[in-house]
Amino acid sequence: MSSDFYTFGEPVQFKSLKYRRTIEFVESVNKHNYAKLRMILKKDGLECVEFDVSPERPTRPVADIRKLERICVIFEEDENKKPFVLALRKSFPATLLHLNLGDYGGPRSLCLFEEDYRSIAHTLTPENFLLRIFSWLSRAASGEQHLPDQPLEPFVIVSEKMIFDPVDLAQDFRDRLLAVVLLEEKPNPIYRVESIPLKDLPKPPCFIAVPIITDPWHSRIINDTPTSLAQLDILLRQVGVSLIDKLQSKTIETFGKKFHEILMDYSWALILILPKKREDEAEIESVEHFAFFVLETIGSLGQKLGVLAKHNESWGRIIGDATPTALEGCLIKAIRPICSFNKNLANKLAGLMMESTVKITAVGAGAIGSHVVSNLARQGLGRWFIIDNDQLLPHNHSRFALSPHYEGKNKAEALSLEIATLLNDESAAKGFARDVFSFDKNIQEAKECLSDVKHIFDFSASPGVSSHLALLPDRSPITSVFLLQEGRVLIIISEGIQQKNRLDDLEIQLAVATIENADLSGLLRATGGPRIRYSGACRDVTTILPQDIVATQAGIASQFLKKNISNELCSINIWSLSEENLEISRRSVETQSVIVKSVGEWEVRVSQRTVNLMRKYRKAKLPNETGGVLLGCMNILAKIVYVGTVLPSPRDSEEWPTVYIRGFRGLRKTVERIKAETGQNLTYVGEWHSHAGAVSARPSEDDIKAHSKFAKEMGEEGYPSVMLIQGGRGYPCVLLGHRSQYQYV
Amino acid sequence: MASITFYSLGNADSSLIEFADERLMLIDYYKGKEGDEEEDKRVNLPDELRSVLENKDRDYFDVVAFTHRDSDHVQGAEEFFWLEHADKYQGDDRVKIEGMWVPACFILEEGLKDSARVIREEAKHRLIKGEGIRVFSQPNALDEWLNSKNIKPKDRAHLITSAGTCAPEFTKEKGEAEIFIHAPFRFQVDEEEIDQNKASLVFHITFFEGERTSRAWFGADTPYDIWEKIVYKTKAKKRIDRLIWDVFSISHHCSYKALSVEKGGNKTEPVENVKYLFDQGQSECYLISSSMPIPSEDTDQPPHKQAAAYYEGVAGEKGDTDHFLVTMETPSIDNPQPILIEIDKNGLTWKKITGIATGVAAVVSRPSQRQGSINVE
Repeated sequence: MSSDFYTFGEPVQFKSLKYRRTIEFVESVNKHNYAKLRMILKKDGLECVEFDVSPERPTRPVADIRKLERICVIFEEDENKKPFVLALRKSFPATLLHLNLGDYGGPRSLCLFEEDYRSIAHTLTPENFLLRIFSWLSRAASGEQHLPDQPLEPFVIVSEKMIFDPVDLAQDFRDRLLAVVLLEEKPNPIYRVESIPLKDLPKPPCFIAVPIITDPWHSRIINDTPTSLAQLDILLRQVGVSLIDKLQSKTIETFGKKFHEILMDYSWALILILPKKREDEAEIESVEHFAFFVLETIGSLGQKLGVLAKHNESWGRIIGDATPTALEGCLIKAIRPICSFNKNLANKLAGLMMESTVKITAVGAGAIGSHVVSNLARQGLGRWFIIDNDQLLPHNHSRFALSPHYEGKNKAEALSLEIATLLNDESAAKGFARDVFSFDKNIQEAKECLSDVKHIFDFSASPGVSSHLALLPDRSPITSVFLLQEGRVLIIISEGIQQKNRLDDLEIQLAVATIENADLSGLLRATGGPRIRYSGACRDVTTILPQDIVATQAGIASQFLKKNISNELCSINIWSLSEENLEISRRSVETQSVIVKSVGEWEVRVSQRTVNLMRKYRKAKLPNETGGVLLGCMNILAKIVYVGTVLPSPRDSEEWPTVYIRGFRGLRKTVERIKAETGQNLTYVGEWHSHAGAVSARPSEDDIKAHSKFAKEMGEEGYPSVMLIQGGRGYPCVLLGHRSQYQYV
Repeated sequence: MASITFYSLGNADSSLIEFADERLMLIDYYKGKEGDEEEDKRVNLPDELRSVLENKDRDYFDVVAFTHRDSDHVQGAEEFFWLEHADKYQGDDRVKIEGMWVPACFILEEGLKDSARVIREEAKHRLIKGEGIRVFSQPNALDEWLNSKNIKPKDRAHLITSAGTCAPEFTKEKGEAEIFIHAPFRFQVDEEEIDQNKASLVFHITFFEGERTSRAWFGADTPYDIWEKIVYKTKAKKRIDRLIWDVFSISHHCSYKALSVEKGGNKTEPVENVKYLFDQGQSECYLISSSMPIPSEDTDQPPHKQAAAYYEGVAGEKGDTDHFLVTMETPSIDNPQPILIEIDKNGLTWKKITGIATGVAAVVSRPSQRQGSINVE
């Protein structure tokens, strides 16, 4: 009997689960009011959680989202890999936005993350992850998945890429052919469309481009990737194209050409040109391109199309009505065309200062990273380990340090190759085409790149990466370099050789400085500036960041790093480029020590400033007690709570010699403003209050009761709650509650 | 977009409507939880409302409607609102009322005590002053009372709205809503002995979203015989559209008396016209019981399991039994939260999670529990 739902894996008991993420996710499903666990399954080393969820669904839903949707979340052991979320109902709509592509006709995979999963994993609780699923379904039900100002969804989404010039598609090359040649095969194939004389055509397998212009397309849908010509034909009929007719006529046309016998062993690359509209009556808003490789030779396909026949190794044309057969079995492969970069890169790097063999690791070879490394390497500084898993794509040329010659290559390897070539020294740089998270698995490489180097320069601009690096044991000192405010602000946070202050603590101190110093106000606030799409895929977006600004900031950064690579003490420095008069100003943030308390499995890291402020506010309110809230952030993966500063008592609070009730007037807005001002780096993490007189900072019964209430409420979102109690002397007492565990030190 | 929030206050009522033009209307007030008792799962209404107003940078409601004077609909109002009739009810932290709505009997009834007395005095003050008030129904007794204050009833006619008409503050163009008054009926107030439940303010709101409409009933503690009259009269006037509903605020904390004179064994069977009224529920409509959790045993006091069985059946027939919601059970008996229903072009959406402040947002939107060094050596 066929079921209405897909299933995934074999049922197992809860106690057999091994992955922390799966265990915590099951617990969050069990306590969720609108989710119900169905079963736990395993398959091929994957752990799967199947549950029903009841989303927020309007009485007149826009999409076919049911009262109960059956979902399966699939976890891998590697916590840096995002979990897959599948809608198991077989009739789950295929035309919703933000679906990943699955197998043709398989369960729908929900696309929950706009951002790189690894950059948010350390802040994502299982409760929040479940909330993302809940919200995804709720927004789908009410038609709110896509905002009006977002670009239209692509026709289909695929991962393999093909670089091409749209102008070429409209040209008649007469004695040349538009061929699709392979640039790089691994790790992901990248192709390029080139016009090539027939005689220079690479040997098969090679593809001959067939541009196909469709009718304007307006639905915002992501379809399954068609895998056969028959499926593509059905898809293209929706946009006014009869693929079979088109291929029949193209085959006949080719058959009429000179040397057609040679071409019979090549294959077609179908390049779709899709004009897109937002609505039926709207103007054409964009043109999208897609390509499909036909995995069959032109000759063989011609036979199936009913227009060619082969006899005694010779091809002949069938006259009369053609009857296509077996097109379902004629496989195709979708690839994503990316318009080629048409501008030359101007490399204006300066420098030739000193030569050094000091070992340096650069994590991230993006805009700022590639330039700084290139600047320093061109001055002969450093023997480099460069870590980055990205490949170089056309849009990178606008601000990457290398030329389009490296297009398709891994950035780290390309940069290494460039440096090695430049310095004529193979050992000058070594590239690692991987992300830094993967270094955990190779002790030798981790030691070589992260422990035995003089310095680690973190250019990743990723909170996930910097957090990962900061917490690595026995590592070299880190200096973090990143740009903000569309490149106008450069920030360099350096631990110093002594490593007395850790990068993660210094980052919190920077965030605190931005809310407490007027001249740094808004520094970390997200600008929300425009983003550019460089292909049709959801996540293929990049920011506007002019090369001249990158170059300016990279020049400062490379000079600073060069001068301070041996500096013993930590520092936080900020350079701002004035748009008006192009002046550059520098400010620095005073750094402080951090008090570290271990509370159960958790670590609470309290800045000295927090303690100083609590003491100050306490003194001002004596003989009464006072209090307020703690601001900081959390690393859920590493179980760390950072307390960066405090807010004083709201004006509606009640303050007595032995009692404190924290009010809330203006508090939520203040916390939300600070969260926005600091780009989510500072938010509420707990409560503080003072004990007056000679009373110790030990928690009272009331304190423990109040704290358990806070912890329960914070626990709704999976977060721990911290309470600090400041007495008359010494450091505060620290209480931490998480998932019904309450402890204090 | 409009929304309705039903607060979890035990067997007591308070609901907040936000209209499309951002005007706020509070229907009834009961202060709810006081103190830190863990077992008391009710919300602290003053804190909840202050949090709402704070987020909107406001210190007033556009309308506060007191459907009748029973304590579970007014208790603590004099501690929360800025009242114009006496200085002692004025202070920085108090919340102002632009327009107060009361049924006529609230003004006319003697011998009231506590919160009800203070609110009655405020209503009288506003009616005498001639602004900031709307009174529902115009019985002879109200005219007599106005005459006794040397006010001609016709000079206050613009502040009085009778059953069978719409409150003028809201129209399709102004607030994208109509509030149609079904009760109180004039004759009930002129009876010698006023039954407050029978003379309560009962109204029906039509929310307009483009060409689409959604409708809500607010029925105070109205008993079945008044519901019968309401339905009878509305049918007689051929105003069936004023009976149709998408969300129904169930009367009298899920008492069987709102449905029938007979409680029934397992399920209350409503009298004919009341059944007709519930038949007018639209697809996937919501029924909200502002009450304690539904008991599994037979009880004297509401909520009655028999009435709940009927309402749950209505929700099921209309598409989803889960749309019968009890304020002290939602989302769970251990942790009831306000029920937020948003109304837009897609109909009604119960914002189960996204409309509720949880985690950090919840903590910083309310005062803390008592902390401090008491009992510490």
